[in-house]
Amino acid sequence: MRTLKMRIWIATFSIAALFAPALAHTCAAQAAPRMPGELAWTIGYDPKTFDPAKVDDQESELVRYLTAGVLLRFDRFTQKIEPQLAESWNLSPDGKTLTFKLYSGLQFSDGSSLTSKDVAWSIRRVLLPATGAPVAEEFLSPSGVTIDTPDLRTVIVHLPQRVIGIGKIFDEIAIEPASRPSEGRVTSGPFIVAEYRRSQYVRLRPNPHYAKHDASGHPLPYAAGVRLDILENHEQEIRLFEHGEYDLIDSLPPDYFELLKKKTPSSVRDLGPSLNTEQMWFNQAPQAPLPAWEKAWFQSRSFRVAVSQAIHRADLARIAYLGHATPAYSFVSPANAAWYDSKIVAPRADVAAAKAGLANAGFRFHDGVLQDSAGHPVRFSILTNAGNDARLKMATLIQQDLAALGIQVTVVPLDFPALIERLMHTQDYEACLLGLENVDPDPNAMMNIWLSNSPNHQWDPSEKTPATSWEAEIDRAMNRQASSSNDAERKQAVDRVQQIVADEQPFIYLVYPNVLVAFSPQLKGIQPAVLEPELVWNAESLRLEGTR
Amino acid sequence: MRPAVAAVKWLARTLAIVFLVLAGSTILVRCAPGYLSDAREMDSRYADAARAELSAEAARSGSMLHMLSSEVSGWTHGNAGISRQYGIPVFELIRPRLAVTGGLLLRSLGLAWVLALSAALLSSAGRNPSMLWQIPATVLLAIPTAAMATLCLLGDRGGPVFVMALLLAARDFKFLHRALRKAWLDPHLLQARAQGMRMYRLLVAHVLPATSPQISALASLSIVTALSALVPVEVIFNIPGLGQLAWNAAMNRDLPVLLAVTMMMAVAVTLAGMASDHPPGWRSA
Repeated sequence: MRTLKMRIWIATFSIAALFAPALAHTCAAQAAPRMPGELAWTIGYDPKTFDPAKVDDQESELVRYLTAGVLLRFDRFTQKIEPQLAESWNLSPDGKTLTFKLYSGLQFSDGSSLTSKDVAWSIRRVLLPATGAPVAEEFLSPSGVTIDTPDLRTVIVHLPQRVIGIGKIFDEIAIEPASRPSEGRVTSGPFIVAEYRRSQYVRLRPNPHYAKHDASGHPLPYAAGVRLDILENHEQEIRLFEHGEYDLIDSLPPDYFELLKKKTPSSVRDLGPSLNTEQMWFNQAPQAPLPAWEKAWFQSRSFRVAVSQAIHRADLARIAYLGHATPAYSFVSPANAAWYDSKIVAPRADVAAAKAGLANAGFRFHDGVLQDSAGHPVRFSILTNAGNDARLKMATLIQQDLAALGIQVTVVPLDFPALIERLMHTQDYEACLLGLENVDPDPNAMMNIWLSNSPNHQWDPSEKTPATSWEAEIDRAMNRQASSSNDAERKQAVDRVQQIVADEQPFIYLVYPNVLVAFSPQLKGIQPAVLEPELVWNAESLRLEGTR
Repeated sequence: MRPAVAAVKWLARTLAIVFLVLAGSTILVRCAPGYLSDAREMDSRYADAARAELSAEAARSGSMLHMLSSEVSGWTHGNAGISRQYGIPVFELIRPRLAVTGGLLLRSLGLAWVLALSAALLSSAGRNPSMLWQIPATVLLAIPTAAMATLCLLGDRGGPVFVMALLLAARDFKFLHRALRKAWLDPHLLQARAQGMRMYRLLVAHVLPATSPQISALASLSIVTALSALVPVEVIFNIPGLGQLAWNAAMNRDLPVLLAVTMMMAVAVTLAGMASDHPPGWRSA
């Protein structure tokens, strides 16, 4: 028996030794080895398309940003429009004619010439309904746009009507070789798509014919390439960043930011409030399948204001975001210097005032429970998307805050498809807590949220006519800012909308999450910006120095 | 004649399972909340015309008949349909992932069985059951796969093979230990041991043949357990295999992909079941 046991022990240890690599294997393994001088970071999912005209998701947008040559670039740091392929551009006084003059000697990455014909073809392709480009809608009447090319360097775009922020739209139109769309393989931007392995990585290599040079005449980009690993798991991303496998992390969740800060404080940076907002709202749609008394609560301004007053936004920022968020009272973030209005008067945390407001509106407290005038106890559920820890924490904190008013709240996390169905199709919900990602500082980009007839007018979508006088006033103010060429008049209109929203609280703004990033000390040329893509907006100027 | 009848029976059973999987998955996914919703609906950049097109597309693809017919058409064209999420043939998505998942399964099963069998032989051959083996196996059984994978990730030690192997070894060990223990304690084996028969001979000629049906059944159960652990392990370790694909498909209500992966799993489980029904013969003394 002893002999057998000994043999089994020996066999076990021998075999265990054979499999030791499985145990010793670290979780920090990249999808592919990294090339010298190559920058690497992660994206959350596979880009849906490499066709720059069809981009409608964040990851495809990043690939387009890194690969596309555009006429004008919206500088994420200065927040100003800068010419890129265009040497100069001008807009006619009536705002209907744009004239671009291209640099001479422009080339695509395959060495072929880039002329006004390519520009015209690329713009026309984006405008075609068959292409289905989301950017086409920004021209307001895409079918009425015409393009002339009087010579090989001049492009004239005729618009049927003035379009606010027209320059920024050209930041999203990639110039491709005429009649040769290549899905990013032939570009006029800093990089080209070299390799794509689904669910693993996208590899970009430098465009050898990229037009831009640095101040000393050195051709750009500096980096030998970019590898975007497709990785959803933040724990693994952090590990690989710590191991030096990744050079940067955009949009860090607060808890991971704190984790990295403890280990490598010099690698993390809190850039302050982003343009994004987190907000909750009540379902005010008359057709919602809710009891009439609940609709009456949600349509009551006093009720919404009282809820807003009961929420301690500073606690939301401190606990849910570990201090990396800023209390919000408006849809324009303080990071948006041009449009932020510091004079907004909005309901602040004041439980006593909230109780008084509710009492004045006919609500009463009975055994610690808030009841409406008909005796219905006030309780509702807040939907939010599962998987977002900060949102879930905020919803739980709001649940506690509203308990002080005698309101019973249930938090319901749903996955996104189920949530969208409730919000956009069945409207079977009472309140919702979500965020809005603002990629454009100009409030004109939010037209579809504020106009009462829009499907994205979340608290009461697609109103045939404005349901209330204040919604009608918002419509008028938003249309005024969209049709005016006078910046001061536009600002005045947007300020008015901000004040109406603060008074009526259709959206109860909670916080502006801060922009949290991490980058390697070896990464040079980095200039973090609050606008996406925060760390790589100047990717052509980024380079690695020293050893990892 | 008998093998032919058995083959027909097996084929009929497999086809019935595949049909049930097809119908059940289609109904479940179609009835899942959010099947008809599209994340682009929340994108305020889309104009009304684009939204109308999205709604029309959703309505077209929402009918059960349309879903089933497009699935059948996809399979008859040999590509298993077009992925809703990626817009490419499902087999193009599955093909590169098969090798990844297959490799992970083989390595995990191999390591698990070596560990489980060695531990079971050691613990069962002694006079009293050894707590040295029982306690870790019980503890490992109590830890959910996802938790074990996350612990490995946080500790930066051990990878997907390690997690899968531990999970499988802990389950297999319990069964193996019981089966082997019972075999060792059979009266004729006790007598043979008392007469001084060599242990190796006893093991090969008596113990293993006596337990081969249980071992075979356990092997098929092991495959089923490994398949069920694939999703959390591949998702947490970010392995581009079938488990990760199935998870993404479920999250995005991608019916063609879900169906293809589910059917492959069903066929794998049926094959494993068939193997356990007909264990390989073992020469008995």
